[in-house]
Amino acid sequence: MGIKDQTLPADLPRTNVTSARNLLFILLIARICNIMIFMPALTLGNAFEDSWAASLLSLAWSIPLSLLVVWASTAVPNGLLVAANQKWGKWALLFFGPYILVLAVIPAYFSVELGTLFGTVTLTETPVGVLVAVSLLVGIYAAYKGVDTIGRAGQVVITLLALLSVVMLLGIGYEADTARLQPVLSRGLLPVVTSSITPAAWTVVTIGVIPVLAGEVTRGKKGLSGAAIWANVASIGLLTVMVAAAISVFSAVEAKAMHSPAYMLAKMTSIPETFERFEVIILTAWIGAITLTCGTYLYAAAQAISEALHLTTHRTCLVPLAAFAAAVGLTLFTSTAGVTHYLPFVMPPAALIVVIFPVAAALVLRRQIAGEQNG
Amino acid sequence: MARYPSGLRLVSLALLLSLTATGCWSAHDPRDLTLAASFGVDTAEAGNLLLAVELVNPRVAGGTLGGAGEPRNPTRVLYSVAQSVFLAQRDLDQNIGKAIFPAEASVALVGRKLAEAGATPMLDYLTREHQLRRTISLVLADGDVPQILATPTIRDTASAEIDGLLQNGRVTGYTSGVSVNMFLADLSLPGKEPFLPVVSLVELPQAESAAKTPSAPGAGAGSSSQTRGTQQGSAQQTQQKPKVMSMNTVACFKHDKLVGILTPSETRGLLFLQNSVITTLVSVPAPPGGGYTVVEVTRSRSSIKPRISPDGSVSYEIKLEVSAEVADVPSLAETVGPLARVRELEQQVASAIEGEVSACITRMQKDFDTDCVGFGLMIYRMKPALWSQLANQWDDVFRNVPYSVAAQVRIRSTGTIGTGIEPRREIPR
Amino acid sequence: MEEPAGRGLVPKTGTIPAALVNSLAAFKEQFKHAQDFVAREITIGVPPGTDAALLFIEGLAKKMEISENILENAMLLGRMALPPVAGTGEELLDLLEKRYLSFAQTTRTTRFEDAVIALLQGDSILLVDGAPAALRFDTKGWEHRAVGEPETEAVIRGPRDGFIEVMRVNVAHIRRRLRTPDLAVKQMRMGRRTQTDVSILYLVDVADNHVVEEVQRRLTGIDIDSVLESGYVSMLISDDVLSPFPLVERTERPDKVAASILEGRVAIVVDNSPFVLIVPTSFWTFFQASEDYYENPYLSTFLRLLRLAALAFTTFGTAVYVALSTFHQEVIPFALLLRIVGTHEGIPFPTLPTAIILELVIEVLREAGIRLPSPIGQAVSIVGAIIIGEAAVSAGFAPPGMVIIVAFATIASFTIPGYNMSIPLRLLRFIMLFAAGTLGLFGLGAAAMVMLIHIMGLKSFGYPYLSLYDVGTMHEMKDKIITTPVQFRSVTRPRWSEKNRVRQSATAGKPPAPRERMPRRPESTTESEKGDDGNQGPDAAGRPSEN
Repeated sequence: MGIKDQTLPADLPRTNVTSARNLLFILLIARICNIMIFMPALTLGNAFEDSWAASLLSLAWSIPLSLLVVWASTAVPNGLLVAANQKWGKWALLFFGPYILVLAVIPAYFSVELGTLFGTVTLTETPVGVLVAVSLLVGIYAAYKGVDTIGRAGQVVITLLALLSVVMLLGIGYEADTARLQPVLSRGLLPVVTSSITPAAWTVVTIGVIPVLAGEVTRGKKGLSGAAIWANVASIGLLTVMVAAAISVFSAVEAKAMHSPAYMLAKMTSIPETFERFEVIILTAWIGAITLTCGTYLYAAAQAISEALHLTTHRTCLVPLAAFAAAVGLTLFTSTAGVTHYLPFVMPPAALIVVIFPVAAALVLRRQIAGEQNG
Repeated sequence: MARYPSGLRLVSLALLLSLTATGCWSAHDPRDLTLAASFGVDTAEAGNLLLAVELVNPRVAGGTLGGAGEPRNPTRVLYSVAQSVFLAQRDLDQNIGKAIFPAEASVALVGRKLAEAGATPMLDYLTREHQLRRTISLVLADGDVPQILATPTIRDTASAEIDGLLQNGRVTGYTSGVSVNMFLADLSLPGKEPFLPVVSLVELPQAESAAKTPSAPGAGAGSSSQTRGTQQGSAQQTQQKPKVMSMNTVACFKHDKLVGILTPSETRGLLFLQNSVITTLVSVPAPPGGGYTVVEVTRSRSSIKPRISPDGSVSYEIKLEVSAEVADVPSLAETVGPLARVRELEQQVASAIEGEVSACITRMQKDFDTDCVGFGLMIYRMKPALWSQLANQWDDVFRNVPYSVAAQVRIRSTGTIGTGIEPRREIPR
Repeated sequence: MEEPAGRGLVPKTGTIPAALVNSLAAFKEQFKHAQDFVAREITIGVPPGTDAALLFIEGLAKKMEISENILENAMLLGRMALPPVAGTGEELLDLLEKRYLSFAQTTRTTRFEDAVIALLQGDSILLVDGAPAALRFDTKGWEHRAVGEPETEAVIRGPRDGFIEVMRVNVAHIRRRLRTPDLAVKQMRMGRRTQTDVSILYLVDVADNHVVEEVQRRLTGIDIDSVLESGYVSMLISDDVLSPFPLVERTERPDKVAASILEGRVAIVVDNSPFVLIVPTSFWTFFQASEDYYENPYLSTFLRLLRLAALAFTTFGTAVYVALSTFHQEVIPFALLLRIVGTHEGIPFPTLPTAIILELVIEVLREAGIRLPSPIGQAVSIVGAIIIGEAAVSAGFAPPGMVIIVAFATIASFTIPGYNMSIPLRLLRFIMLFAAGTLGLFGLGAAAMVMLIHIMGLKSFGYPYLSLYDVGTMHEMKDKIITTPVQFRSVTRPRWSEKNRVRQSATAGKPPAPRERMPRRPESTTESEKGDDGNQGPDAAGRPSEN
């Protein structure tokens, strides 16, 4: 299933309209942010040398999950509209609240991660709050401009990240010892399976933005599922390659101890005498990816609220949402405990909410959805 | 169409601009930096650590070219003593005018005494500190660390010199670079222990000519380098024979403790096993006329295969494939032309190499009690289940594990001439 | 051509009075402050004849034409022994218009305000006693600049005729290149006091109807005192006038305008301005020079890539230097870092202020070079730059590395063919500098993202300003980033329009296959009987052979 070519007539003035192709780039950005920053720290957890197999296995989890989310993707906006049209319209927010909350907290997490990473390795004396604020501000600007703009900006950032990743993987080639990728299943299958759940959970959470954006895609759900599948396959492929690279360069024990193995991989990349510190370049490219991701989720949350409240544009609720995200991020996540400890606890419930929610809404509203597809 | 609401623009603009007003926290002006080319850590008295840093003077080394005046010293070595490496670095920062910038350092020296006690304090500093890279070379310093760093060198800095020596090692075959990452990886891999190249100071035999003309800027450094706290050695050093750095041995570790230093020939055996030898010279006695025929190894590949017998005991089969060229023939009596002599030469070279390899493994088994070769790693990779049984007793197993070494040498060419130079004995008709 | 009534200010309206005395008085009253208004009173016909008056504005009307074609004919008629031209003034006017006055463009006007506007445009008005109408002759002609090479867009290969300030001549330039009746030329007037003529040009069966309608809607919506230059118009119709990036393209070259019209875009020609506007526009159009299409495609591709690299360097070059040397020194290779640290020693200011000062100095030099008369201007800017740079380095005010980078970044901005794209980059350079000097590469990355998001959100008449992989633009990449010979260029037009997209057939562009052997000369019969060439070459009709 390929991406359907969704062309736009030239005279459509709305900035909120996007196409399946742009959606693909948005999803890719979100997934690759996840990989670049959190990647093997989570995936390498239990499976050691077999982590690359674990990441491949998470592909098996995440494809059906993302198909499920896509199938249910029209349910949420329809549900919001249906609920908003009832007399108890504004109470719909309570019902959809947790969903919107997850969407708003993710940008907090991403921007704090980025700020912490920068604050630890390059700009050591700058307060982390400043870095978080800057990345959130750029995220707000992106959300303000709308998802169409984010998709197009994502095209450039993804190209850049892809090129840099290729350069990085080539550059560490001679440091890598592929013999370290043996043996497979030295500890049995169970660690591999449990390690594969976390990337799958993250997949679902990052795909969770589709239900809200789906309302914006003008034509065809086939394009949506194609985009979601491609995004997952591409990103899980990249995840596997990164994990394998980390293990072969550092050995599994070392890689597990690192906060951000992807960053350390970039640090090892060097073409002597010319290209000494590749990680700074990678970090700068990550800024682009993270700010766009923050923008996407802020946009989605703002759009959901504005649909529930019958507002004309998503921009009115953008600033309060962003303030909320900043507050959550700075209080919950800025401590070592937050970074390494909360995540495993936060992830499964978040994944559950993001999966169960649209599915439940889809089941409840299936008649309306069927009506929409036919008429 | 899209007129931004002025409130939002003003607020975000104000926020962004306010950042500039508060000052730039992490800005380090390049004028405030002094670059460290290399550093070394050793133990000092009372459980403290000594950190020696080789600082580069940028005006001499990198300022506008064609500066007037006599060539000045491009580097200085400073050291300080504190409870930990980081504290020692801060101590140095307190006592010189500029902040030390260690990020460009390419060589790190580990003092021998520190290595014997356990190199973890230094390793932790190397990995945790974000400015340092994992690709720098780690070298064991067999001697006084500040003195080694201050030795006169043919290159500008000691780190460049050590890098150069490691590069030469690819040609001579007696040393090989180990990066911090390699060391740590070996440390964490099961069934393999790390090793490090060793740098020491040796005297040059031609002492007089070396001291006379300090033409390169580095050569003058020896007489005027200052080391804080050590003897003002300028007068003394010109009397003594000057020393240079030399790297032709390797130190074996057990976990993070140094257990011993191999001799040069054992070193080469180990490097043969690690496939780190690019070219090297092997000399064998030349039977008829005395002297030694020297053969240059151009390519060598080793393979180590564990053989596991049904009753669970392990033995190893080591095979080396070597290509060589004849490099140096001592006398006319040594004729390398005939095939028989070439085959014989191959045998001699093979046994020489096998001897070195065996000597190395024996030394590790009997004296050092550490598996730097990676026998255990082979088992872990091929039979992880077996390794999980043997892991706890690997020390005992390794001590007595039987192995066989077989080297196959092919001499590919004899240089540009076949037989040697022949003085003419009779006048041709 | 049609002339929709412009928005005007004409105070006096109504029909032209029939009696000459009244109409003449009305005109003289209207133009009482204009001493270059000429009213030439004559008598037409056999004596006693009918009174008439020829009105024109000196300097705007061609006196030679008036004298020879109008006055001579009108006055001579009375001398000839022709049927008496008698009758009502209306009939006389008719006769004059249709039979006797041999002037090419003649129309009849009945409205007073139309006649006034016509006079102000340079036409001449003939008033005849007794006719409540006037004849209007198109005698426009005034001194204008000769057609020369466009000064802002010089090329090595390509036509050198540029637009001048006369709209009619400019439209003629374009017409000469598009000799098709499908070229629509719509005229209007803008500006209450300037009454500037504006023409809209597009190809009827190619241009997007939405765009054409939108252009007309926006232009007719302009209600302003004066339109002095096309810049006024471009600002008024721009989608986002507050954005530093240009959303309306302008050019002095007719071949560029013709090519754009062929792509389906709309050209707007404004009188009194040699700059013609083209809408809609995209980011890439500013990096395309006309000669890219005429010259060797390898060279053009290389130059295009060079321009993009220059774009990146001019915006980010100095900022990256400041960020790396102040925040991230570890990125710089050791030998280079030694040089940088060594040369920064003793500089009185920190890196960021030094960079800003150097940038400002270069901007001043650049502006000064433009304002000075040409021979001196070049010398001053070059000499000034070199001398100031040298002196700054020797005096120790600036590190030589930074001087090099700043100077090169400035020069790099000149490679961009579209001058109005280099303007925003010059300004953005300062913002990038501030961002880099405050938060290092993090700040620079954030500022670059803001710029990217801004650009991606721009739309020009509904078309996205910049898009990389949007549908339909992939095969146009052949045109944007690289160039190809004519044969390989897009068989369809770029996506400015949905209509009529095929512009060359897939095979027509291919040259005929070359022959393998030249045809034999008929030397002897025996030779020609033996096997013939396999390759026949094109047959008589010129079609390529089957091979």
